[in-house]
Amino acid sequence: MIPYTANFRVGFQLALAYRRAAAVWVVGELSLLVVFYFLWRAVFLYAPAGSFSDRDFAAFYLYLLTARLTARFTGGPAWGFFAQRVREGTVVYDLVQPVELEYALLARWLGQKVGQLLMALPVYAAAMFVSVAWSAGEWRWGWFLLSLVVGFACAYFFEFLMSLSAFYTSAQQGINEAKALVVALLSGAFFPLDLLPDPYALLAGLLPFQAFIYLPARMLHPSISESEIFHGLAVQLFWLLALAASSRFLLGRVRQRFNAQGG
Amino acid sequence: MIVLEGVSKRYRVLEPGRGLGGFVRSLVKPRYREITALDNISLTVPQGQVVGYIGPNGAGKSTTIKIIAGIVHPSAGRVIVSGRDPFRQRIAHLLELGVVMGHRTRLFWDLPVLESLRYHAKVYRLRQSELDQRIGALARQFNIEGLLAQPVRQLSLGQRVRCDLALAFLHHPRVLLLDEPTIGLDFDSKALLRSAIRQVASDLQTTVILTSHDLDDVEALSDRIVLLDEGRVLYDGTLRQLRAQYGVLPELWLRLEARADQVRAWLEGLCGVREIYTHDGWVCVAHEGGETPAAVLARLLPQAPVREMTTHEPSIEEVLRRVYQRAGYR
Ligand SMILES: Nc1ncnc2c1ncn2[C@@H]1O[C@H](COP(=O)(O)OP(=O)(O)OP(=O)(O)O)[C@@H](O)[C@H]1O
Ligand SMILES: [Mg+2]
Repeated sequence: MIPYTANFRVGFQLALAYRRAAAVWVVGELSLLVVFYFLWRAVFLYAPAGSFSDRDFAAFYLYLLTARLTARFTGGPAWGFFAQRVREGTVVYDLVQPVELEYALLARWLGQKVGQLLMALPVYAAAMFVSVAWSAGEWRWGWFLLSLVVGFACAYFFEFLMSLSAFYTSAQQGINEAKALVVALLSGAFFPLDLLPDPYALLAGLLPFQAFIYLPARMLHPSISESEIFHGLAVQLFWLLALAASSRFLLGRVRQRFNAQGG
Repeated sequence: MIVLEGVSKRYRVLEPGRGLGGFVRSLVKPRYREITALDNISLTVPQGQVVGYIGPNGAGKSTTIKIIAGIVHPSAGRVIVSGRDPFRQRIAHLLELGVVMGHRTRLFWDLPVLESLRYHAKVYRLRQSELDQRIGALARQFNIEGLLAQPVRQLSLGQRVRCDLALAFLHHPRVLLLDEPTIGLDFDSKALLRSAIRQVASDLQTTVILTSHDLDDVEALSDRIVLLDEGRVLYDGTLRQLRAQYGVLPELWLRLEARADQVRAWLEGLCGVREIYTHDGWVCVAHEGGETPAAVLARLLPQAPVREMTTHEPSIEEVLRRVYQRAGYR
């Protein structure tokens, strides 16, 4: 257990070392939320009758707020966990650690996220205050937090798998860009997935990305039903197990065929 | 103890197509070429031995290190380290292993050195009570006490390497693999490393495999050297035996007022003298060591005043050059 708490601690320290990035994030997110506010209000105002009529703008905007906070917590590193290190060969040092690499990095990444969370605490507090004031019942907060943590783990294992691809291909740039686009569109980072027209909503419902942001953020929706909450969590847990098992399997394969690059 | 039995490693590398057509073809139907990095290597290193693992660039030294470390699988053969299979018993194996690759760092680039040391101490399951004491001792030993609070990215190359080395000794590994550990180290730092290696080898019975292109390091430390060339073991034994076997002779260099043919005549019949030639104003006498220099001087002094004199011991580089020449290398 100790190696994993040590990883958590290192992650936390890394978050502190990169604290300026957190400040930039706050500014970026606040501007995004302001722009989205006016953008979506305009959409709501001028939408033809029927299309958005059953939606409540306040609930919609609450979703966006929660989704952005969730995205901050579950989002992976744009550069992958060790793709760069595979390229340079430094990954050798990751592989000689006497730990289960995927859990060690999970603990480190969690530490880093918790560190970032603490640094952006005022923003979080304000956002949560707004959300609580908006949302119908406090009891959902527990479900939201649980779902957030599971979503974090799902997103982590997805990123871990993507990073493993660096052992097979050097096309990391392309993979990263495609991944960022797909995740942005299908995870619900910028709009609730139920907004999508039918075939796309069905597709999004079959993919793991919804578990990263949409399912947790939806937990705070004022009119979510209890069965929707449990269904959401079940879907998340399914993806968590599937992604974690794939990570384990693929890492084993990678260890088998690994030919360290660079003398 | 490290045992390699018939270990081979072949790397598959993509054969790049020629021109645009070739490029497209290689995308559709890639062609591969095999590189044999290690060719049937067998080696047994007893516990506590320091082995100098040397060979020209691309000989397969780093590949061997990675195979012993258990991060690269051999294409054929068997590896046993401290009675374990490095792949099947991965974690137990890695817990007792120290690895340094001089040109890469294991430290967290953006964190103070101390945090990297703490982190690794915990990863290697050191107890909290041991941890501070160990780190303190190593910091003294590698002279990095003043660097502990600094982020790694602000260290000079040699400072960083010293920190990386301290880290490798932290958990008292049973097996220490050092791949070019003296890269970027100044004279004093090399001395620190040498004494640290000697200490763990004798006090803790650590097995050390050391590759270096600085043959002085190898000479100063190794109980045994293994010479590798194109993936094959060319020589395995002590340095002294190697010298004897490949007979690169010591030389006596003299400046005196005489020509080489005169000197040759004066030294006629002196046993132990192998060759006499002139070089850059010196008369060079290659001999078999022992009493010969005194005998040479005794013959020459009555004939011509010796103005200057020096002895020239063949360096290990020269010995190796001779070894590779005989092996048909270059
Ligand atoms: N990942 C890899 N893929 C393909 N070929 C490789 C790989 N790693 C090493 N090689 C090849 O294997 C051979 C041995 O390489 P290795 O790194 O073991 O040499 P070395 O003895 O450490 O050399 P140096 O003194 O330059 O460090 C070289 O010909 C190298 O080109
Ligand atoms: Mg090498």
